[in-house]
Amino acid sequence: MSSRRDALRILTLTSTLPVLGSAAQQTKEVETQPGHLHTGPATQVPVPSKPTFFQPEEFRAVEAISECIIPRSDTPGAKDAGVALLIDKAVVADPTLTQPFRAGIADLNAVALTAYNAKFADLTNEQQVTVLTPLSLDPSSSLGKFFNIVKDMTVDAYYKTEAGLKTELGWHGNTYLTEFKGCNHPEHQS
Amino acid sequence: MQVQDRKDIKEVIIIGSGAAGGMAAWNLTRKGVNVTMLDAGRKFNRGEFWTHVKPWQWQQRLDAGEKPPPIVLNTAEQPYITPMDQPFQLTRVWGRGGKTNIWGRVSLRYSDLDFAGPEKDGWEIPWPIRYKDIAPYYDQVDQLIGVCGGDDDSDSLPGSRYFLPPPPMRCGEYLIKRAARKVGIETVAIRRAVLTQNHNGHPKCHFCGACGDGCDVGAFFNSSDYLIEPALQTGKLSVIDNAVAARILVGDDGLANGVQYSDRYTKDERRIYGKRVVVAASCIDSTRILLNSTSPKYPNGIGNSSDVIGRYLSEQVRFTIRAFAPELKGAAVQNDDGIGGAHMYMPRFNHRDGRKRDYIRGFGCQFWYTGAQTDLSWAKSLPGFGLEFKKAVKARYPAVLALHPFGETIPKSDNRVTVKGSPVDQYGVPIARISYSLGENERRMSKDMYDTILEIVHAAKAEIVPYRYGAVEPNGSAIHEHGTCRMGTDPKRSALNGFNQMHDVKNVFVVDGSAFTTASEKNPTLTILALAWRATDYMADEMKRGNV
Repeated sequence: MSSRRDALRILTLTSTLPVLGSAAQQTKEVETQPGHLHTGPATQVPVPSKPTFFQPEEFRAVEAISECIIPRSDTPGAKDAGVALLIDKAVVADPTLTQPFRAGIADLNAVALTAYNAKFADLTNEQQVTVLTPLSLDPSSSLGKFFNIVKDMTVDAYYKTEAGLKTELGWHGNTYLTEFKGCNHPEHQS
Repeated sequence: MQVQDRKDIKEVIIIGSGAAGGMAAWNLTRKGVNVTMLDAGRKFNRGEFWTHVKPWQWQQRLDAGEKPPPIVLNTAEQPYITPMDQPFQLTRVWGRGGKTNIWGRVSLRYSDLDFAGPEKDGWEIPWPIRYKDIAPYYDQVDQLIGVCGGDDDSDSLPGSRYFLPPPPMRCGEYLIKRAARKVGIETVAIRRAVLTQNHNGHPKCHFCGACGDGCDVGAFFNSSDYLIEPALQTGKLSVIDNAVAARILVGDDGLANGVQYSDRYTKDERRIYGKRVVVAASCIDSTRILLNSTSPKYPNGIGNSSDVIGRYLSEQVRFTIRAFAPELKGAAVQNDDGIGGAHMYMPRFNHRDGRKRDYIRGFGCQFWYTGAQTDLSWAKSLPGFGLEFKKAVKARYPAVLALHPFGETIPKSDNRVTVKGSPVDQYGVPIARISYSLGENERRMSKDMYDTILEIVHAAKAEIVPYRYGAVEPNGSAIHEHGTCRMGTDPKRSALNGFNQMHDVKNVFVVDGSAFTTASEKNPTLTILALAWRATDYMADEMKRGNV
C-alpha cells in the first residue's frame, strides 16, 4: 500500500514474451480453492510500440544507453525487454524528467561526436562503453547525473519485466502453492 | 436535508467498518443488540482484486484501460492538510473492512512493558488497563480470526495457546536468526493473522505473497468477511453504504443522540438518530469527527473537556536495512513469497540485562522483503554497468536480507490533529490538519535501532546496501496512528475510561487506534480488536443494567 510501489509499477513491462499460458494455468489451479473469486488475467492488448515523448533519435540513444547498462547475454537485455519504451512512459508521467533527458541525450551525443564523429547510438558497443565509463565514475558531473538517472530507471524498468524478473533473475512467485516449504538447507538453520 | 423519522431511534450506531467497527458490530449483534453501521464506502469485490496480476502485467492491464479496485482513498477526494515542513503520509480506506483489506497482518500482543511503561518512566499518563485485563480478549481474538505464531512467551511479547502453525522460515531469515543469536539477540516466529490452515470457514493461504493488493480468497483476517458478514447473518446489523460521517449530534441531556453524515457521491446530508454511538472511523477520521462535533455544551468538540482529543498523536519510527548473505549469493532462486512479508520477529529486548539506553521505551524488528522478492530497488546501489553489473545483481538476488525495525514514538501534546480554521471538504465539513514531528527520544532510539541492526548485519558477515545512518521512513508511513482520544483513569488528562467510554459522554465509545494511551513498537490491529471486543462487552452489560 505504498506510493513507492505504485511508482515502480509505472515502469512495468511491454515485452512481447508470451505470458498468457502460464497465467491461465495458475488461475485454473487457484480456482479450485474454496471461496475463490478470481476473475482471470487481463485481455491481452497490442503493446504500444512507439515512444510518445522521445524523438526517434533520442529513443535510439536511450535504447543504446540502457542496453549498455543491462546488455543481452544468454538472457534478454534492456532492449529485448522494451526498457526504453518504459522509460518513455515514465518521463511522460513525470514532467521533471523531460529537461534532464532532452539535455542529457544532446550532451552525450556531443561527447560522442567529439570523440568518434558519430552519434552515441551509432558507436560500436566498445566505443559506447568507453564514453559511458567516465560518466559512471563521476556522479557529480551533469552527464554523470544523467547517466545515473538512466541507470536507475533502467534497473526499475528491466527488473519489473518478465524478461528481467523471470527470465534473468528466476523469480517464480505469485503463484498458487498448497504448501510453503521455506528453507530446506540444514546448514542455514544451525 | 433528509431527516430520519424521529421515532426510528437506533439502538447503536457504529461509525466505521474496519477492525474496530467490525468487531463492535460482530460482538454487539451476537449479544442481540440491533446495530446500524455507517460505512464511508461499500463492500469490495474480492474477485476484482489484482492479487494474481504479476508485476509486468500491471502495465498491460493499465494499457488495456483496466484499473485496480480503488481500495486506498484518494487524497484528492478527501484531503487533509499539514504544515509545509511537517509532511505526514495518511493512508485511509473508505469501504467495507477499511484498512484490513490490505493490512500487514502482524499481530503482536501488548505486554505489561507497554501497559505499565508510562508509569515506570513517568512520560505522560498511564494506561488504565494491564495485560491481565486484555489477555482473555487476545485469546478470543486469536481463536476467532486465526493468528499463526510460535510457542514463545516473554515479558515483552506474551504468548498464546491458540496460534495456527507458523510458516516455515526463508533461508535469509534463518541466517539473520543465527547472526542475531551470535550477538545475544533472540528472534521468534512472526505472529500474523494469516491462515496457515483452514479456519472457521475461511480458506488457508495459498502463499502467493500478494496480500498488499487484497486477498482474493480472504485467507487473512479482514473485517468484512470475518466480522461484518457474520454480523449481517444475525439479521441484527444494517449497513448504510457511502455514509461519510460528519459529526455526532447531542441532545439537551448532553448525551449523544445521533450522527450527521453525507452520502459520499450525492453529497446529500442526512441525520440518523440513536441511543449510543460507537466511533471507529480510524484514528485521524474519528478524531476529526469528534472535534467537529461542537455544540454549546461541548464547544471544544464532544467529550473534550480535557482538551486532550486531537493531541498526543503517536506513530512509529522505522526504516529498512538491506544486506546480502554470503551463503546465498549465487544460490538457486526459491519462491520466497510465503505469507507475504516477514516470517520472523525480533521482540523488544532493550530493557533487559542492564543494557544502557539514553531514551525511554523500545523497538522490535520485522524482516519484510527478505529473499527473492519483486522489489529490486537495491540493485541501483550496485556500482558500474554492463555484464558485470547484470551478474552482480543476479548473484545477490536470492541473498537479500532485509531488517525492518519499528520503534515507539512517545505521546506529545503538540503532535496533534485539529479542525479549527481548516478548509472544508466537499461535504462542507472541516478537514483534519495534522501537525506531527519526531523528537529527541525518537532520534536517540533510532540510533540504537541502527546500531542493533548493523551489529546483526556485521555478525552475518553480510554485504550491506548503502544507507544513511539515523534516517527513518516518512512520518505516517507505518500507518499506525494512535493516541488522539486516549484512555486513562484521570478525566482531566484523558478522554476515555478503561472501557473506551467517554468520561464526559457516557453513551459514546471510541474503539479504534485513537483510544491507545501509547503506541508501543507493535502493530496495533490485534490490540484494537481485543479492546473493541472488551469495550462492547462492557457496553452491552451497561445497556442491560440501564446505564447507557
